[in-house]
Amino acid sequence: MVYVKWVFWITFWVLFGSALHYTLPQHDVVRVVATDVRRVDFGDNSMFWAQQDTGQESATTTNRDVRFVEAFRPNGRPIVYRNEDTGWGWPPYFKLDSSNLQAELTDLVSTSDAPQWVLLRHYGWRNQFFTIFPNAVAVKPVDGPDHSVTNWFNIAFLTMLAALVWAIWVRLRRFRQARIDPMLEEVEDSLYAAGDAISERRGRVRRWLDSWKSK
Amino acid sequence: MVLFSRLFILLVVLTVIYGAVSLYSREVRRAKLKRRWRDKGLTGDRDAFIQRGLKQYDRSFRRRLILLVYVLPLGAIALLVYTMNFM
Repeated sequence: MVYVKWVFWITFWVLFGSALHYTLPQHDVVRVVATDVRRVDFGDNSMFWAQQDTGQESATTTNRDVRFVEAFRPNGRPIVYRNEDTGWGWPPYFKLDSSNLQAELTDLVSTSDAPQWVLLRHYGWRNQFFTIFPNAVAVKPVDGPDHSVTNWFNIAFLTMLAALVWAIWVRLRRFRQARIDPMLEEVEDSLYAAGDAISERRGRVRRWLDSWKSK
Repeated sequence: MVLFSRLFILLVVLTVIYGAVSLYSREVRRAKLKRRWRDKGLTGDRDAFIQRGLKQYDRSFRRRLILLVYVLPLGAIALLVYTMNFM
């Protein structure tokens, strides 16, 4: 039975951790090669797409045009991002300027002979099996492919999240010790008392029966 | 539009939180006044003492701090919109 608890908690934390990994921003140093717009039909992977441009969200359709960005990583492998508004929805990036971002990205297009390396902030995963693209959020030109950057926002956010979880857990534990455990002890005590009373009753009846036997 | 309906819902939720926190804070102040009255062994009209203390609390800075319930989330959203789109 202990395994059930372990499995439950491990599943919970894996889901929570992967949701965080998907939603929190990451940085990639890439070389942008093309930007385009494609018509996308939303099927099973609709969860991994964002929304229409802000102001047009009420136009829900089964397909729409999505801006894409094709890029190459320093190790020579390609990666494709999408560039969609998240608007006022989830994740709370309040990304309203995807069209401007697309213009900036097109401006930074370069070839492998004369590469222009950029730092691309994005969230999401790239998965070929399910056709999932990360969502580009901001772009900044950098000097070379080995530009390194520390993700201060993630560090601060995860620290505060850990502090919040710890604070809630400590308060829950204190509440349990102060209120629930004494109540449980009382319930146990009364159960024991009931057990004793029952065995005492049996003892009396038995002694009465034995008083007959000695005859 | 989505923006206005989301904003409206957010304001309603923040108002509910503000009301709950305000009432709770006032009750905590009332409990503190009662305890002070008892611990100091004060004499006289207890209800009047509590009413005076609460009236003082109503004017205090601590009560105005509860308005941060509105300021902080809306300010954070505005800051996010600025940094993500205009910087």
